[in-house]
Amino acid sequence: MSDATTAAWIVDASRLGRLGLKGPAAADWLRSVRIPVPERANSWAPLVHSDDASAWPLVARLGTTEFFIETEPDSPLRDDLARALGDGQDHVYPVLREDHACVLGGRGVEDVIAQVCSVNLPSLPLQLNPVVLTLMTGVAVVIVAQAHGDGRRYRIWCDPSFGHYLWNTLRAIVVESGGDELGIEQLRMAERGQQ
Amino acid sequence: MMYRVQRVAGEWIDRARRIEFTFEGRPLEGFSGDCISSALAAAGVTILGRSFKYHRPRGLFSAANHDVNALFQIDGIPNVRGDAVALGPQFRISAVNTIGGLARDRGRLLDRLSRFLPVGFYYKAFHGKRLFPFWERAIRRLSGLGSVSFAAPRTPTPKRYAFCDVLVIGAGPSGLSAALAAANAGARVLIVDENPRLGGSGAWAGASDLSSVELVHQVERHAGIAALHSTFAAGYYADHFIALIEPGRMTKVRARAVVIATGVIEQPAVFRNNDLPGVMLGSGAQRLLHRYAIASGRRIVVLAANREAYALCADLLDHGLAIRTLVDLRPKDESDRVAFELERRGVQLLHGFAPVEALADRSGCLRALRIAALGPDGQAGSPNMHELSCDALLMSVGFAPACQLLAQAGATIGFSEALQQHVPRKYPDGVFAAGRVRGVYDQDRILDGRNAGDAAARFAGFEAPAALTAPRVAARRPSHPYPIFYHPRHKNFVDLDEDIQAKDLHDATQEGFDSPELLKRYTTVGMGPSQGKHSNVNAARILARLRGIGLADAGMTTTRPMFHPVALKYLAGRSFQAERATPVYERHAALGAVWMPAGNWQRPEYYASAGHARIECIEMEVRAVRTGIGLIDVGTLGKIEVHGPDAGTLLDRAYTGRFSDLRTGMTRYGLMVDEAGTIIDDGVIARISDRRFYFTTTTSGSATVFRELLRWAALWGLDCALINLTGHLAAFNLAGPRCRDALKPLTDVELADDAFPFLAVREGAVAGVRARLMRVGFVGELGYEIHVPAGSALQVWDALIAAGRDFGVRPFGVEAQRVLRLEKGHFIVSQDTDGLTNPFEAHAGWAVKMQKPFFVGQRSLRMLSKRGPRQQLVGFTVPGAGPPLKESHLVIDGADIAGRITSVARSATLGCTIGLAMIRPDLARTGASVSIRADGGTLIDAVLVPTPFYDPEGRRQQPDGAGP
Repeated sequence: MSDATTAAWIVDASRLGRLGLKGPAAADWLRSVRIPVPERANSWAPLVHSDDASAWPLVARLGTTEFFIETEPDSPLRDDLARALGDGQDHVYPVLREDHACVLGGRGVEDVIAQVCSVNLPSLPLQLNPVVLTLMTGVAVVIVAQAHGDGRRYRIWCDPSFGHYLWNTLRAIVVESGGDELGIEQLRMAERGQQ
Repeated sequence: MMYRVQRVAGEWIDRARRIEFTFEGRPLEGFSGDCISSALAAAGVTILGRSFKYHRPRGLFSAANHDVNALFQIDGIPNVRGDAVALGPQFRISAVNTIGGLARDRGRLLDRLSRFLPVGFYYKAFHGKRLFPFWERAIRRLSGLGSVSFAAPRTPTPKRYAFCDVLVIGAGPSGLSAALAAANAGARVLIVDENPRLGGSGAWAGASDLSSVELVHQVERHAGIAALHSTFAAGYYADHFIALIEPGRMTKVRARAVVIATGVIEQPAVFRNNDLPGVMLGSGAQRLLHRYAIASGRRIVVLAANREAYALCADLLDHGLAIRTLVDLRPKDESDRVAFELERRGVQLLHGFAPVEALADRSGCLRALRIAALGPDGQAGSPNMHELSCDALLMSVGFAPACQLLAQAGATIGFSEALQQHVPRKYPDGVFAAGRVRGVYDQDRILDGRNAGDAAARFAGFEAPAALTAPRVAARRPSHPYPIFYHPRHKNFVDLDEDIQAKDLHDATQEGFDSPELLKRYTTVGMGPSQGKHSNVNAARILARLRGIGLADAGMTTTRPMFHPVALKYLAGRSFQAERATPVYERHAALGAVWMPAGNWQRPEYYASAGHARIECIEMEVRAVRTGIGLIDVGTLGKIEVHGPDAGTLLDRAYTGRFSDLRTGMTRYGLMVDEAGTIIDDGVIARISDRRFYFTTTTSGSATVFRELLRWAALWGLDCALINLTGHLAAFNLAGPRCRDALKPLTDVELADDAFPFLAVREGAVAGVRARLMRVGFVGELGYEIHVPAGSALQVWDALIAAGRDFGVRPFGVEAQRVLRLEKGHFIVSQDTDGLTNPFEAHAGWAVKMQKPFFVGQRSLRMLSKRGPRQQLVGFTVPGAGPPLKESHLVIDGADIAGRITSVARSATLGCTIGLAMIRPDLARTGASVSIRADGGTLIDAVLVPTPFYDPEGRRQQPDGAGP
């Protein structure tokens, strides 16, 4: 697998670990447990302090007082954070996140995106780590655009009840455009190989 | 007759690649690069189809992508635009709107009956009810264009979005120039043109126009310009959002600035038989020649009223075509050197003559033009007529701007008397125009385009030079002020799409339809496939003259998308229908679920069982719940958490009940009304801790309720946070007298009645998964609603099924649940209530705590409680057998409608039909009998009874009373 030979690809990333929290004190709580806090609304940061523009584990700020964290599937961090948060604290409340997650990438990814989303995602400045909350194929989604080789990959999360529909719809368009479905390990191994 | 000539410089056809096709069953041949119309023309086919109303023979008229005469049926696809669609191999092409084929069309008799089909025929024919069915059938059979074939291939038509700094619509000289200017300023430019190649009129209207060729090369090489060919802008929408129709898909473009350089559309003259095959527009003849190397005839006459007609003659002569005569509507200009040159080349010039009529040969095609000297009234005034033998009459008498997009964008369109053309006067921000569409002709178009491109780039935020030289609006008059000529025998067509004659417009105006909008609707002028591109201006000229006003005062009709006809499939795109599924969707499918939509969810209506009918399956599911265990997926319910010190206050204000005093670990029914006191949602509200509530909503109401609660919390400044968990949690209802036995080994929650009483909520593990359990009784049996994270749902579902197997567990669907809750007399919001029902009318007054300081709808309910109900929800039974009753069957009182059934079912448990009905309050007396009108009008007697129908004391929801 490489972007050079694949028009577009789609990866199911639902098995990564994730949790959410919201409330006016959520940012302070994250700082207290040494999680990087994206300073701007609708932006993301690597979960581990770094400048990695294509980090997989991340913390995304949705609006001003809600946060969404995605970890490696086998990372204990999610359970540690969930335990620390418990049923909530003063003005910090846990948010169950059972999202369906997928990733779109490859040379033809922009053409796929153009067919399913009315937001001009290719124009997003990656250096600002933007998070976009919008509709894709009629489904409310959270999108993070990240650098990926010479191009971009788009990480997409949605309510799990729409997951079946969104996945099938996106996958059909990817296949129609000459691309294919990949496994997440396949993708990440390829990324490590490129490094 | 048209024919293919020797190679023409720049022709689009590839003579090395032949393409075979059939037309009306006749095998023919064209070249790769031909459009359908050109291939037919080259093959000598003169009659392409029949007209819409009178079935008159019609031929190529404009070759300009919107020619109603060139619509075809191809392999089951109707109304393919022959001028715009490339010829494909093995196309099976037939004419549209014929009865028995093009050559033997039986509909042609209508042409002889035209005097019985006056303007406004529809309105007059439909005036009486008695003949309506007759006329409806007759018109449906006789009119219309192509026919829809359900066997036509289904082709995907994706939609896409695109973005650019400057969108240029039209790739003629001015559009190309605008694109280059904007791109040179650094803007990302998208240029679109409806033709397969860039160049527009520069590619054919002036063969010597080398600057256009060079412009095309520059645009094609420019890295900042993307070009879309064979693409038209179908409509302009707010904020520079433009729908582009490409071959096979629609692209919605958002641009920062837009340059509209759509040029002009040549207009016909109106005279008797101006629709004969062989009569066409001069620009059409040039398109055919330069694109497809087709001569428009062997004996050509040109009808002229502008300079373009002379250029046309010169162009055709240069390519070896024979032009006999040029008939100019204008007087002779002795200084005209071009005219002198034409005469020198052998063309007879006749000035000051008007067409009287075109004459047809036996096949219905043009054989001659009859003309006469113009009189002082602008009509053929001399009795001495000349007959000019010809097989092609090319008209070049004027133009109309293609300003539809400008008008849609909000530009003010005025009328220039000097040009005899509509022109834009005022533009909305970010919208610019260039070239002939705004009255700038000839070489000035290129300068005009450059200025527009620079201005658009500046508007989009780029640095571009300001216009130094203003291009001249044409100093000449390209359009004749009244190229309309009357004849006592009529058939002088203004609108070829709809067969509208000049006399039709006269009659309509006389009948009082004397404004453009009224005239359009009464006569249907401009309402055909070309949307008035060849008829609106002439219709307006006629109207203005009849009213004795100028064209500027007559006004024009409103232009709306789409610019060309667009197949519905392009609008539908991929038909994204976002559907939700619960995490155990696949388990339902494996169990034979028959699906039904519930909001945007798919839910099992029931589970099919081999050898059993639907109703039997539902009864088996009901029986399982009443006697053993049933399991239903209720994950579609809205599921919301509210945290914070003001969580109870929010619920107190949003719902009619009181929740701030709800004990932790308990649930309470919640009813929501709107400001008018109308029931809008309900659910169960559980208190998890002092500052944390969890509650359910109806399946279809979750998003609305969540949004409203967010709004209210913000509006009231409450210190609480709302979390929508609808999709993130799965929920199952395990119900039936044996459900506790099945659940007990799976959970660490103490299920004993004293530890977990009716209406309590508990948290613990079920099948090893952290769960929230609510002991509720919607179906009227001992039951537990189990809520677990969606990712663990399969594990829990499988464990419940396995644990329940020894007790005869059976999954049940929505229909069984409806029967079960109906037996308990529970109403369903928006099925048993409607957009006017308040809680008092639905016997839910007990859920309204009027003594609270405030809740949404309280003021209205206070008034409604004093006024009394306007309708009342009641239970009824129908003893014995009879015709089946259905929801919405009417309750009849004497001759009046007194209500309707909202829910009804045959209850196997109770052995009778039960239901709920919303009826007039004066009839709502227990024990009274009411009449219900079933299908076919049969009246059924029903008895009003109190609810619940089943287990009115609620004993079965208590363990002691739950024995089988």
